[in-house]
Amino acid sequence: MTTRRPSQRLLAAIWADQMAGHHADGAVAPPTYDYTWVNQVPFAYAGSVATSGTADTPDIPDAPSTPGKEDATYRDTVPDLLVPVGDVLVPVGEEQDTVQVTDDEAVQKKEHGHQRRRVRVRRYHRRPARGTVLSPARMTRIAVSIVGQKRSEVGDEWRSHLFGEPGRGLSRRDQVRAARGFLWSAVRFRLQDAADLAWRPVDAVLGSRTLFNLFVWGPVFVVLLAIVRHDGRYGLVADDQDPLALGLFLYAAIKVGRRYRRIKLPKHKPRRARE
Amino acid sequence: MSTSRIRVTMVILDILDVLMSTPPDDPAWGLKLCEQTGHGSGTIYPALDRLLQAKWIEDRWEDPPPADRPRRRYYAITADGRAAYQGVVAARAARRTAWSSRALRAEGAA
Repeated sequence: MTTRRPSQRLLAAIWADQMAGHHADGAVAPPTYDYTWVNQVPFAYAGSVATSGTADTPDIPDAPSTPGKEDATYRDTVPDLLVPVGDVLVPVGEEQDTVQVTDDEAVQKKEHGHQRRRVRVRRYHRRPARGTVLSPARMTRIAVSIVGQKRSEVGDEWRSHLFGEPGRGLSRRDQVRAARGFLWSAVRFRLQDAADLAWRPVDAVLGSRTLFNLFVWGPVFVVLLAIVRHDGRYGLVADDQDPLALGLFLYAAIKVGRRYRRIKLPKHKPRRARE
Repeated sequence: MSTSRIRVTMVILDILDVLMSTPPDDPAWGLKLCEQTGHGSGTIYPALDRLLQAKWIEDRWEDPPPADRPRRRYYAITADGRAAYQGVVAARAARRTAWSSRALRAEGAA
């Protein structure tokens, strides 16, 4: 049997219902659907309570509460095609024997031993809790993958955090909160690493005398060359304020950058005495 | 870049408070720091990282690693961190004293 997801089963059920409607009496209005949310897919679920299952009509077990955690029994017993009866879905072929009753009525019918198959409507009015979409362990794994190789050791640290003290583990709610914090920490670590990487060339200029001289005198020299080429040597006298202003600006920028980045240049090495 | 100075926030002070009062035989780790400071994991771990980079605290892994749970990363304050913490606390106390003395003078003048 091929395993279908609830959404696929729903589409299959709708298709089967439409096909049945073409072959049936055209005067019958198509049923209206009241799909509720089960595991984040619109899916009305019918569970058997009134009669025990047979080979032809297997019992439908309870829907799993966690997405992706369907057990083998659930997969093997849920029929491929479901048709809507009222606002529930029942296996194909059982729609004639199915009527919709409330919970109390279902219990009552069971007590009185009715042989007709009944279904109890199980409504899932609430969507799953936000924390159950991603488990804390999974969120932690995602956080560790965001952090990257440079800080991969935080994986053990965060897993030990989630584990808690022996015999006094964290509650599910605390685990989810901690895992969200790990995600936030991972993003901050990553941004910090990116910022450090971006500052690296700037720090190299700020922390080196050679690069400092190149950064200040290089543009000044280029401007001087441009002035000489454009206006001749006399242009140096007329436009002397332009390269001077540029040099002062770059010098001040370097000084401010060093103060901001708290970078101190290494002291001058004493020159060797000439032998 | 010099990393000996960091911006001392309340989270940093809370962490250093805990680390200063932690006995050596029961070192602090992530969950313990979160519970004792009252801050979340998203705040504590980046602050610990800043303190580590500033060399105000040092870390070590639990050795030997236990078989029944993940190993822990323990944190301890360094001599630099202790001196910095005492400096910060002294500066705060001086600011409070100056503020209170100014307030008293203002009340007396009024």
